[in-house]
Amino acid sequence: MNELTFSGTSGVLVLSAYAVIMLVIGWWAGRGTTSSSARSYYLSGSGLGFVALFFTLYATQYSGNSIVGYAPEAYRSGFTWWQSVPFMVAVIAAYLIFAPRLYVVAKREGFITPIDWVRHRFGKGKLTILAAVLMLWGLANYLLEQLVAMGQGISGLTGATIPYEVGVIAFVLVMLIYSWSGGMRAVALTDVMQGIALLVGVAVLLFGALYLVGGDVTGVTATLADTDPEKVAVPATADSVEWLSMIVLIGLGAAVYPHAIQRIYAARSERTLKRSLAVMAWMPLLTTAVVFVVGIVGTQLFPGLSEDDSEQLVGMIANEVAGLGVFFYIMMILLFGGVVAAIVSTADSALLAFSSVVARDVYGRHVNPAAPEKRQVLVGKIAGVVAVAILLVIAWNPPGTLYDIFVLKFELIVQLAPVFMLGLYWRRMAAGPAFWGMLAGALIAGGLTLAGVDDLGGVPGGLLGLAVNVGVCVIGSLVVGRPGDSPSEDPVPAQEATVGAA
Amino acid sequence: MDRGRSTSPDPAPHAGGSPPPARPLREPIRRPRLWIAMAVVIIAGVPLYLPTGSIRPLVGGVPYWLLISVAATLAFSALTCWACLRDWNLAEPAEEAAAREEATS
Repeated sequence: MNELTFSGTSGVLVLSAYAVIMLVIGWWAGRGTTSSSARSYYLSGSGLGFVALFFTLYATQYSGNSIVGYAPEAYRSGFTWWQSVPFMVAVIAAYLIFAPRLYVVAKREGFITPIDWVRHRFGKGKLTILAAVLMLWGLANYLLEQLVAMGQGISGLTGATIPYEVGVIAFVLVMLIYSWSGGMRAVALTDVMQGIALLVGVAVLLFGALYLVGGDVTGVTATLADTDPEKVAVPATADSVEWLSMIVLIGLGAAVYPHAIQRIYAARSERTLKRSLAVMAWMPLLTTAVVFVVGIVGTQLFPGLSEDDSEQLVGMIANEVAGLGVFFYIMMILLFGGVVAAIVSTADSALLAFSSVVARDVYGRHVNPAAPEKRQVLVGKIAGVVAVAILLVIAWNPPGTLYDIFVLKFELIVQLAPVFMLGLYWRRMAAGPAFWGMLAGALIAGGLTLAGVDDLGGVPGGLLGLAVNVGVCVIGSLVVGRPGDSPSEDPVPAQEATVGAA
Repeated sequence: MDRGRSTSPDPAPHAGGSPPPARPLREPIRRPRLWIAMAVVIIAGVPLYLPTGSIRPLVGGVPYWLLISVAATLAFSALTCWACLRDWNLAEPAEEAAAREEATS
């Protein structure tokens, strides 16, 4: 790789400026937040308006991996990677399965963590504990991925001027400072800045990449069709099955991520929530679709890269674009900051959710139930710092490519989907079968991953586990459950529904 | 029969004096046609049903199957957006009524 434009002092200056901006926004946002109330700290008092909610949904769902990991994936896989667009839309479609009713119940019952729903619906038993374990596991893995990406992004984009470890520690400290002081409000408002930086960065990267090939996208695809036809041809059946599986797996998995669910609770109103999600339905076309095009253009700009070298594709393209002139250099600074900001914005959301589950569902329920909320919040903050410290040690030896660890966390977290998506509607669903289904699904998904089996005929292990999970849950509930075992959560009374339907 | 509809109570008067028109309560999960349409656009976007390995015809340099997939994805986004705005109305009437009440008191 050639000498990078952002190596040396310029890279350090750009990152320092972004760090300062994040700290200032976080400090400003956190002024009105009180750490003595869990609702205030973890959900910003359930008062996020449209702008903050939309950008925190956006910046949380799209991490730095959506740029630095997806562009190389498009480079290597070719047009099959278009799947990254519908699978991101699927996340919003999956919200529609459960978010409308969960929002109503959460507001009524005063939920703070996703486990609050599981406890409300199924009681305090072993299902609640297993759900909490899977959530903490998934969040820790998610956080680890962000820490790895943070180091690789900073180190890669600065040509290792800022060493991997230094980059991670610096931005982790920034994240911890503003998260500690401002909670969800600070996280959401820094997400506004981070989301804008990501959007602008992606747009500029596309513009620059197209400029480098003279704006001739059709020429790029036509050339690729001649030189590398398997990248542009209709994929093999197993690849198409995997494509469909990823839409289901990521759609269901990402929607029930703890930090995703907490954003449902944090919305100021239903109107705010549904409008934010309505706009989010279009964001894959402005983000992953753009990154897809950049990856495809990369096949012409840097043909023949190995898998390892292709991981640096975004940095290589940014370097070329920055060399075009002062305007492009400044624009690539925005991209550079946008990538790092996107990673930090995803990490801070996962950290806050992790902290809330430890504070409320572990410490507040099982360790010290008499503890006041202020103490619970403090314990959650300390647990978050300790978890990050442990994950940093793991991050020094990052596993495989980013995509591999991205899939791994969905394999487990998607097993939570039935307790939300079935539990909200099916009153006969019983806690016992739900527990055994979730456990079986998690063991199958984790076992296949440990055995090195990514998929069977294109169907990922997580989806196979989910099928078993749902099967055990449904059949078991039909056997041991009784109709009306749980109170109805239906916000539309049956009589009114019938009258309205007539 | 449309099981997703119900008339919201909405008892609060409008700021101008007359109450706003009642909007039906709606929940996306109760709309089978929505989910059938979702399944159709998702499956239409996955090239499972097209001959493996085919590239041509190229339309503007882009293989035909990718254009089909892009069109299906646009439809998926549009459908999801539409469902958020039009098929989801559970708490909003009560929340807006409460907000109006607060504003007038």
